Amino acid sequence: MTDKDALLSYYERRTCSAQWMEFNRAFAAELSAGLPPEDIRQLFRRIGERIALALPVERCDTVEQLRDGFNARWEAIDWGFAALQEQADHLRIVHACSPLAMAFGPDTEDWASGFFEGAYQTWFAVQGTPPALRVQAEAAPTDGSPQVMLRLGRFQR
Amino acid sequence: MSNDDREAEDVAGLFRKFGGDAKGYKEFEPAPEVGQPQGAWTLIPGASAAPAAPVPPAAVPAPAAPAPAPAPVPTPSAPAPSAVAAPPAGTPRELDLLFARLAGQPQPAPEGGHGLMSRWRKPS
Repeated sequence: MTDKDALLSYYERRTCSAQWMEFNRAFAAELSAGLPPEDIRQLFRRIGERIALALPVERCDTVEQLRDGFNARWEAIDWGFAALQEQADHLRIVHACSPLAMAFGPDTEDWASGFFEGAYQTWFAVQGTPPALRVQAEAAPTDGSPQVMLRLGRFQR
Repeated sequence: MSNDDREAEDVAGLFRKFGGDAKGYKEFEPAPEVGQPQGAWTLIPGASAAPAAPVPPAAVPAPAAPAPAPAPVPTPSAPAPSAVAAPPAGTPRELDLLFARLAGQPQPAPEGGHGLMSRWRKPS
């Protein structure tokens, strides 16, 4: 873990209020006990879609404008920030400092990241992405890096 | 006595009953609607909730085009009201090119009059 990751991790620990943390963790434990991970992931995708529709990003021309639009919305609800990195066959989305991991616990990353898939997919759809492009979260980093990595690209369904 | 005068007198009388000063009284007015309401994610059933499905690109409200002037009188160009200037019709956005590349589709070529080809000299 780098110094930057340590700083992000520190910030992330402070992003979920004590008022809600135990509730959220109990909620996550009940979800995990009662539903298969893919179902919970789908539920969180839909929650992400709703959030994105409630916080619309205007149509942008450039990647930089889009990143700023995303971050204005995340900033408004204290949900961290994103960086967009163009790659040869995908657009990488690196989301840092969200309260999600702290709110639901470290064992929920497999399905909690579905929230970001739904949110970014919805925002990109409004920007006019072709149907072939989807947002998919990468596997949670094993180095404890407090960031969610996603890709906008072509994936096997 | 107009309606406004009568309302002002009612308010003054009411404040006198409670020993207050009606000078500071202000009528509540509904907030002016500016664009699409933010924070529509509500827990109240029946309130304006976001639709469940993603909004297709066609549903995005485009900036309204100004009505054509009755006569072609040249006017000074005014800056666009939006922070993001709308591109000229037919010019693909940088994002369109990126999406097309990522989707493996042929990238949309600019229409005639734009881009490098517009400056290509035709053999005479």
